[in-house]
Amino acid sequence: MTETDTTLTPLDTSSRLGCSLRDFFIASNGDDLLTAFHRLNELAPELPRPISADSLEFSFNRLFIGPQAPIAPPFASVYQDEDDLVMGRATQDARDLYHSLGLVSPWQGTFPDDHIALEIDACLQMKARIAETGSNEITTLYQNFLQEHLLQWVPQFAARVYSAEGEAPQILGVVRLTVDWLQNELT
Amino acid sequence: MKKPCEDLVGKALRNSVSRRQFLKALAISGAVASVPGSLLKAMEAGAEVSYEEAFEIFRNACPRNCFDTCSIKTFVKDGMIHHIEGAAESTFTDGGLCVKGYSYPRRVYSPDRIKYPMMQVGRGSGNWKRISWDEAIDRIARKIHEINDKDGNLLSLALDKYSGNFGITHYGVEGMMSSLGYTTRFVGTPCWPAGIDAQNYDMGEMWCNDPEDMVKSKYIIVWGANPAWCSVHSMKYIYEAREKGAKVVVIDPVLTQTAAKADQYIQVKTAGDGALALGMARHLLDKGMIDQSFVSQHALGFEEFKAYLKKNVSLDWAAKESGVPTLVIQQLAEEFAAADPATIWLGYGLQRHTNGGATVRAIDALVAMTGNIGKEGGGARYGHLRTWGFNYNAMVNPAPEGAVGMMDGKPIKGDFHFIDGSKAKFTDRSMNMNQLAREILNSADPKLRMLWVACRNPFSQDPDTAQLQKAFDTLEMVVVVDQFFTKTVDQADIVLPHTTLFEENTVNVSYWHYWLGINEQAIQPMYESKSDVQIAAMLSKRMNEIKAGSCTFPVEMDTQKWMEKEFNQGIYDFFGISSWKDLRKGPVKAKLPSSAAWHDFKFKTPSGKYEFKSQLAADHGHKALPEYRAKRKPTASLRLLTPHSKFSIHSQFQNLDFMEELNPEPLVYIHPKTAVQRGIKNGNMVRIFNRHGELKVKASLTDAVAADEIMMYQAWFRNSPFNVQNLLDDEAADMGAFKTGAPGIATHDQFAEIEKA
Ligand code: SF4
Repeated sequence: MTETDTTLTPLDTSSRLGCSLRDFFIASNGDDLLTAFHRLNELAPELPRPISADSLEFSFNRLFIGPQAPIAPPFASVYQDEDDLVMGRATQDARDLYHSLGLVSPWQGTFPDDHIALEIDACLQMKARIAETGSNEITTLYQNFLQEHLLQWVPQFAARVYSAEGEAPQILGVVRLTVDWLQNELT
Repeated sequence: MKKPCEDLVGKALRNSVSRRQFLKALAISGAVASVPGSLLKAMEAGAEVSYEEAFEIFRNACPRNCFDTCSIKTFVKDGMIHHIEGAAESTFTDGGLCVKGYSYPRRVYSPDRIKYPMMQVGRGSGNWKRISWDEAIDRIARKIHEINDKDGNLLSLALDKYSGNFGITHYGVEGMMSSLGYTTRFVGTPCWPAGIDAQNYDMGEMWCNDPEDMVKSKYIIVWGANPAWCSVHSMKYIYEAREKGAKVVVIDPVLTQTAAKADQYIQVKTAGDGALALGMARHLLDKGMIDQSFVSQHALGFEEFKAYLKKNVSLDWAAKESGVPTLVIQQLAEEFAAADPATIWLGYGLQRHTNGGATVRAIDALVAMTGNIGKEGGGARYGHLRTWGFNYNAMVNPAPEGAVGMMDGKPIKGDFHFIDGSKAKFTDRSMNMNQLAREILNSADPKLRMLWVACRNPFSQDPDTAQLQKAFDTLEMVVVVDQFFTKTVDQADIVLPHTTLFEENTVNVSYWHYWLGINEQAIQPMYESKSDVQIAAMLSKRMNEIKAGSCTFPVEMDTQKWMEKEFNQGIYDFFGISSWKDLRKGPVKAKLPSSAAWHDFKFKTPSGKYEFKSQLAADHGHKALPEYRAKRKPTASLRLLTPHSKFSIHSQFQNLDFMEELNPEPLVYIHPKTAVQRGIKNGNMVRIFNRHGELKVKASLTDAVAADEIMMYQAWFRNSPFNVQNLLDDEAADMGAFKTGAPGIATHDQFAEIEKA
């Protein structure tokens, strides 16, 4: 059963997709994952048919959460920094960017600021502000963020996801969608 | 391909001046745009975007099971650890850490950390669900209540905890168990118990000289220890002594890094150390090189020991049993006795044998008869717990009213168990930690139902993996608290994420040196990690919500307050401080009247003397004298040694990417002669097997090991099934039960076959 979130309706398709991608990556349980997946499925019918919330979550946790060493940790610094660690330079970059926009991660200091969901959220914030104000600075910042940051690491992250054996094709599909979305955002 | 992160908004953003200009240029209202479900929040009005230019500095202490217990200085910027250093205030740490210590930031910020409480749907399935702390604790609390309702007691709930974190407040885990009622405790220690008992029989306590006084030694024997890897900070004292003219001898079955640096290396047959010590003693007797005043004034039973040596010990026998030629035995004994002072460092490896306690007693005797006990620069150095006089505040909760336990009047014992439970009506049920699998399987009345694992990784550290798997399969619930996904977490139903040392407050001392340091919280706990005592408080809260009065552990937990509660006047006086706050300025050393243990010759034995002849030992079923005890009979053609690697402490550290780069894969070390006989070439994959199991690993040919022995370093590699425990059994050491509640484990009396895979 697909549940359409009416709060997303006023947004353009690209922002709706962004919101659902963000919600997918930040989901903390199978039900939230499935809900986000259904929304994505509406916008991207090419995604594989949904599976059960549990199957989706088990695979999601192996890929991104743990408790095993996650196959593809969804944090920029793991891919961008010299060290494969969280809380690195890329994290500081993401934090700086949010601060520049007057924004802050609600989990600053306990959760890496460069988590994919937070970064997609920052994209959405910038898109909304560009739409509201037409600000050139923010447009530049956004394009920079996509080109110099997100599109540097997300493809590497995606490659790790694609190389994982036996994980849910639904998640692989969402990751592919994410890369496409970021590329489409580049003007 | 990695490229260094290009600045998002131009490199200028890194510079605070241009950052400010940029902020101005953006001139954003500061309000969050209307994005549905937004995660990012508006920065609080008026909150300056402040970028700290300077570091905040915190005091930390390495809590691992390592001799050195280093004092650490942690440099934090913008709430993140930038780097760490060894504290210079401690002359022992001396401003440096080891390769493991320097990797700590990588541990905190490893993407592999366990981040959330999680529940596995089917143990070992790899199917995990994220659950909230509330849900995790609720499930655990309900299970504990269910057990109590079914059994009328909590004896089927067991705790397996040991040395993963020696921060004093971590004894709150034991405290959590006590505050639930009477439970089953896995007691004893895989580490050093046979030697502890041995030193207690000989001297009444395990107590070692200050390691810093090794500089005064004229002759140092490092016997069965590898400080070049396992206590790097002790090496500087050994080197300094050598510069001043001391001779350094290493006795070990393996040509270790320490042996390579020594003046003389003596390859002893594994478990033949006791024979070597007794052979040396016999030779000194013949030579009359005995400290008569010590043996007559401060010792008991030397005449009987003499008689034993004369009757039972010959140099030829000692040479045969130890593999050390008689000439070498003579030379070593004479040099040792002639030097003043002379010392022996007794490693823990030498007592992980069926004759380990007897070996330690024989070596103690050698040090004693040459008059080196109670002497600065001398001593039979094994370890001490003299600086551990904390309050163990989190450990002392009474059982809840009406709780029922064992009535056999046997209170819990342990090397680090400082609470006297001898007057209680009920007690906990003790089981042998070193025979975890066997004990779980044999448990009855009640059968174990639930296991809580903290500071421990039994699937990497306990013998006989196959048997352990069987044992775990009988348990109804397994809860594991850890920082990383280990082989044990794989067998858990619920895993709880634990903080690293930088994310909690505690206090640390060493079982080797005499320094005391606090461990401050330097950063916020990452993700949802919590410390052992915080977890205990949450569990207590939920237990009491379900049934009031069912747990006496406090329900609120501030780790700093709890750290403070560990201190008492005794500690302050011993270390010459007036408050724990003084430790913020750096670690302090105990005010010792002498650097020598037993400097006043007031031994704590029943006779008050050094006891060559211990009636207590005899009462406990051992020989009264430090007599030789035969080695364990081989169960396969090659002896299998599994000592510590440089890159890990048990199953900690090797899983970090940094260590993997330094030490990418496990190896088995095999003597070229042994390899040739079996057609094995350097780099071949080999199969090692015995009646307990097998493993496959790459062979490395070296004459650092003897021809009748093979060696693998015990370690947990995160992406490898390698596990030395597949091949080990749970054979007990001779001693350990007296002081630690269970005998030690004969980790180095193991045997296997090897063939080309
Ligand atoms: S492992 Fe030992 S030597 Fe290394 S930092 Fe910790 S206490 Fe120091």
